Amino acid sequence: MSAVALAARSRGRRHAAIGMRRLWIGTTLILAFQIAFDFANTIERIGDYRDTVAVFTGWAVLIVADAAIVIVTRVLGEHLPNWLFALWYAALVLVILLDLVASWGMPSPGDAFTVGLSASISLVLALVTRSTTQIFATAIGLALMTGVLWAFMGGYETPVIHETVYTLCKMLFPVLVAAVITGSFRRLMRRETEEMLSHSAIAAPRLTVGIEASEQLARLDLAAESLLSAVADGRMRLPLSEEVAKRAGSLATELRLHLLESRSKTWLGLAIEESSLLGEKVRVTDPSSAAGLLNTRQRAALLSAIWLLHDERSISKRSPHEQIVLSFDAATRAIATDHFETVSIRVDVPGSTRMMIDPGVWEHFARVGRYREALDGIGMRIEIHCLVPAPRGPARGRTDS
Amino acid sequence: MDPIQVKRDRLLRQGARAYGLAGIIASFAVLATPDSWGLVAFWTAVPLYVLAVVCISMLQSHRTLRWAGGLLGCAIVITLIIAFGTPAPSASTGLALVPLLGAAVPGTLMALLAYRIGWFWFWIGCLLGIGVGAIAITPANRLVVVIVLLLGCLLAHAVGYLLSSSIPPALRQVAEVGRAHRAERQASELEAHRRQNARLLHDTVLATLTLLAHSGRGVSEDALREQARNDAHLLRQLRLGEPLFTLPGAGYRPEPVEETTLGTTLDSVKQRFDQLGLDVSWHGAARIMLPPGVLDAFLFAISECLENVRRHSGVVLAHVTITEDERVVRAMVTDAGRGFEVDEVGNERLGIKESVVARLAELGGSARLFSSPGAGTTVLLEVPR
Repeated sequence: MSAVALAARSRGRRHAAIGMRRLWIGTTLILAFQIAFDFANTIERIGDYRDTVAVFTGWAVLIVADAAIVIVTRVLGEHLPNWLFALWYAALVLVILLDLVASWGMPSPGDAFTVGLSASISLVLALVTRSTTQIFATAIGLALMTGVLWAFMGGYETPVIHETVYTLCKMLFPVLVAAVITGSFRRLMRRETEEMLSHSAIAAPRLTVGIEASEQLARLDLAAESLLSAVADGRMRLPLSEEVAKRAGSLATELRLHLLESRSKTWLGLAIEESSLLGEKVRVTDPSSAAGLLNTRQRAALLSAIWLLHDERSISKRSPHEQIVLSFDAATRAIATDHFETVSIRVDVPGSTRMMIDPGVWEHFARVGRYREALDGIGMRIEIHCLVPAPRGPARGRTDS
Repeated sequence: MDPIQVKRDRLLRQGARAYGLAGIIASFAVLATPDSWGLVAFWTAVPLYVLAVVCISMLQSHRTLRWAGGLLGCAIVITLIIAFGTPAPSASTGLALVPLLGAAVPGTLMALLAYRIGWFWFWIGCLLGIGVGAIAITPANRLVVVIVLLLGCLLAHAVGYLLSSSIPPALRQVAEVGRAHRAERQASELEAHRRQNARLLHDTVLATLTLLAHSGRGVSEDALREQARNDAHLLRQLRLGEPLFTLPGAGYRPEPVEETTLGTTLDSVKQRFDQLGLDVSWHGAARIMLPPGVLDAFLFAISECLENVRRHSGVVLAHVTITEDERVVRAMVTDAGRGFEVDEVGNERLGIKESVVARLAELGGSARLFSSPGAGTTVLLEVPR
């Protein structure tokens, strides 16, 4: 995995918890109500249990385990180590087993299941620290275990089976629904964060290098520096060994490539390249780097429009593999004036129709320039002509701002 | 529509779909136990369950109210079929109504909570469902079931409220992350500029590396060592951000007599503002040659900008970053002060138009101003060399 991908992943993890605290507190409160409700249920049928010690032990274990998880998650700042999660899960399994022991042989085991229900729903406490898949797997595991044991207890005999099924649903569905909702909240926040991060590219000069390339150049410089100083100190004997000579050669090549190439990127290329969401769905062809000529306002509007198109693409799933393509033509001098140039941009959105595109997209495109949209055989095609100030005489073709 | 509203709406609809679907599945699972299989009412209810699932999955489209209403209709008809279509309502048929009216209906109606008076429609729908449920349930269980259903509706409302109220603070947090990232990118951009602008240096480094790639054969060993030492020294200076062209003997840039250096004069500007109570933090090249006329204008522009920071920004620290390439010397004057709306404040009031912009323009330079309320101010000054 490249350093960039690693950095992106760690950044993703850092931002994964954005806005989750509030959700987590709310979920904890709702869980507390559920626990109180189930505890009242236990008290109500206290005379019916075969083994009251087991059910109250279950309650003690559950409350200690849940309290510990709440405190740890809070103290560690929305983080829960794997071993602790495993330990907690084992405690939940134990609680369910205790409840099953306590209600063994009762006429309707599903109806008498109380602390076990709270134990299963307690999994919502891990929503903020575990992925949706993990929550799904663990919740289904608990329900499956309970269901299988009920099969031996006679929980599926005809007069009581509906209560058993009802209880299994109550164990499983709240957790699954909460996991799905948290998952969509996380996805929404990830998308918002990526849009926000990609917008930071807008302020870049006409041609830029990007954070990654800048770091690479610094690394190459450092490698060259250490090699050269080793030669200067005599730590490396002259003539150099084959291996070191080869290293010097490749360093020189990389450095040269870097100095030649790295200024060919525009803000748009950077914004799309650095966002994993946009990178999958959008492609830019801009051989003359015309995107760099747009002013900040045009850039912001264009990027917002691209994000809206991206959203439509990820919801509709109609042609998920076809990318949105932005093609820039080289800037041409606008008629009758020397001060402005026009850049034409063609946006191809395959598989889309006018109806499917968010109205906000047109608003943004209007801010970029004059646009015309048409439906061709493949999808929507939007052509935008935008007016940009011409680079001044000698500055034309300059490689910086 | 307001972007926050759009996101809230989307999130609530996704949540409502999962919630409603879970309720429908649970209700059907409870109903579909073997003792119902012989009932005509059960088989009549099956297509309605399918229809309810269709309504829930259509919530994605923009007619939320219509599809939520459709689901409510399905749920009411199912309730009535179960209550009055069965000769003697079995326990399972009664229990199936709890997830239907206590989870599927309020869960789906949760999508309405994104709208302004959505809570009103939410509760109308929920109470309608509970009312029909109360009729369908045997009188012995009526009170308990109604309470449980009410709790179910309250839960759905709580979940909906939690989701919609989580969005604005989360978006604010995202905006903060974005601001931090922008600063990071600007810093990296400056750094990249600095390294790339050291073309001359890189040329000699490349030449030395190429010699080394041939194992240093054909060149005098001492000369190569000396060259490597010089280059390593220059790279080190580049890394530490020291001025490049002051290395004695390096001679990469002869110093023309008619040019004056920026270094000493910058110090005097800094000292002057120190006395006035503004701390100026200097970054980038500390020694740059400029023709005297240009240098004066450049220093004057920087001083004007600093004076503006001192008067208007409300902070006591300003940053000045000097960069250069073959053609242009740039100064970026930045403060983290209160900022302003560039469009709203006339150029005259800033005092920049006449004094700075005009004077730099005469020399072929430019001045650009970036600011917004609460986000500080940045002025970018450029003069040709």
